[in-house]
Amino acid sequence: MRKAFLIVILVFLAAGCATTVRPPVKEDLLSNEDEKIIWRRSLEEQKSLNASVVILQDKNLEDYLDQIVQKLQPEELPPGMSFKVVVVKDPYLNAFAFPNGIIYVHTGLLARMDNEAQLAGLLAHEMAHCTQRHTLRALRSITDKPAFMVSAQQTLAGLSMIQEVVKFLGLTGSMTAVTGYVRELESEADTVGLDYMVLAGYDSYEVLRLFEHLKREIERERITEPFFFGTHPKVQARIDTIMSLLETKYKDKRGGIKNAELFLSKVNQAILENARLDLRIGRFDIAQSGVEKYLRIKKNDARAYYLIGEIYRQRGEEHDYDKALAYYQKAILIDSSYAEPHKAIGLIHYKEGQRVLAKKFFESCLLLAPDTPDKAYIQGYIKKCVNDREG
Amino acid sequence: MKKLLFLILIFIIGCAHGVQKGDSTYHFAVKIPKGWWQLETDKYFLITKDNPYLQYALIQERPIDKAFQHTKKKLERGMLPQEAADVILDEIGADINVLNFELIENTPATIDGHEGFRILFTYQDKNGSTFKTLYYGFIKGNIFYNLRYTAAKRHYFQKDLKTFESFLDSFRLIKSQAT
Repeated sequence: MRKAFLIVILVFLAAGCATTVRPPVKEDLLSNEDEKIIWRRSLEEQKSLNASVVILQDKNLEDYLDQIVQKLQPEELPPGMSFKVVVVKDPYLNAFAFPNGIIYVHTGLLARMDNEAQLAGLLAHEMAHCTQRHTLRALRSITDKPAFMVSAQQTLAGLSMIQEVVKFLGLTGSMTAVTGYVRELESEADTVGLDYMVLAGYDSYEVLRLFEHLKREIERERITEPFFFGTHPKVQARIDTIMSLLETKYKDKRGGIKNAELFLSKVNQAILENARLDLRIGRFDIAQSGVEKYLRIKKNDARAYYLIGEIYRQRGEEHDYDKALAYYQKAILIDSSYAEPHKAIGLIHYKEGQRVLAKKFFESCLLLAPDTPDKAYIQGYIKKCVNDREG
Repeated sequence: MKKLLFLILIFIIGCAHGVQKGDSTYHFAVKIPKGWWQLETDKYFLITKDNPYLQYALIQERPIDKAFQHTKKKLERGMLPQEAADVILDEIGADINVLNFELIENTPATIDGHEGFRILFTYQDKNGSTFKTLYYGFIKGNIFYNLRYTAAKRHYFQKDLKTFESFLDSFRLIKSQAT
């Protein structure tokens, strides 16, 4: 019985990766059993995702995002639907919505945006998926259920370069996050989303700029990500639909709210966090762009200078150590009590055989942070520095 | 984890104990604890007592220029053990099969006289089971050697820890073949 139920769920939820659909359903979409199943499943996935460490805790940003969705949302929403945006600490380009209105945006995508209008454009697209009940419509269009099941399973199984967030997603989230919907439904989300954006007074051309910017970056950095917004053809499709709408339906609607400064002041912590994540996965150039963007907003942040230093030290190409040292020194100049750059300078001198200098910085690190987690390593370096001098 | 289990089951070759000599496949010698099974995969030297889902110890010889699966980071000749540990921690943290990763300890260690690192962490798999891993690593020439002990956190990890420590103590690089 349980197995049969699971199969039914899988078949329903596999709809997200459909390649063909019937025309959109016309009948009343309220309170259907199949929709209830999807919502229940969505809640379970959200619970697991929200309880994980991948959610960015930033109350200031959460409040700001709530304000934006309130501006965008239509007056009437389907029963039980309520919009909420959650930021996920993940450096890859993605945003996705569960059918009950909970939208997840990756820091990777936030870090690429320049203003509130671009963010509004993205959120409006995701909100349109919910208000137009795309998950439900997609599942009702399934004609070959076993084939869809196989397709869904293959999509999930193929995610070998998996990102942090997918670890916590079930099938619903994985489908909406990874494959997106069929072309017709994505185009409808572009159209309806642009309506929401214009009605809220945003500059609708900014959403086009965002997708063009993403496309250029995907090409330049040769980004190959499994997620929807990190996929070249899908971003190109967004550009085509939006451009067509801007040239026709909205050709007289230039200008509107951009809120660049406000946006950057709200997302700056997410940008810095994202740069840390890019560094963790070894995307040094992207990490550097992120920290530089952050530094344009917050000019005197020791953590940001330390992070650029780390990018250079860990990359370790020619002259990188010299550049790293300069950034560590800047960090210390801003905050002399910050232990991390002391340790990092010590490491560089230690590797270069400058034991006296290395010892000095290791000792100052331990003085500033006596309980640093890598205390045992640092004590070992100091001991070696002493032994080498004595030897 | 499931993939690893699958490989293990496929290549299971039977029970062995005694001294495993270095041969054309491996550049080390190690004493297999009595009662443990030696399993062969194309990637690891791996042993278990009950089954790999409950506990296993493995040794891997990894060329340092071999790309990691989950990050773009690299190990390099001359890297400090701490730097190597950081690369490994980032790689483990980015692995889909490692949920709720929690680092307990990251300290320097000596393995067969080679300077390396020792990391201790817990994680969950997709079934919700919690595992604990003790991971030793060091770079010798162009090879990164790692010796790991993973077991179900509850009951099994502590039970076989001493056996793993003896296994670790018996590890020797074969000088003529080690790069």
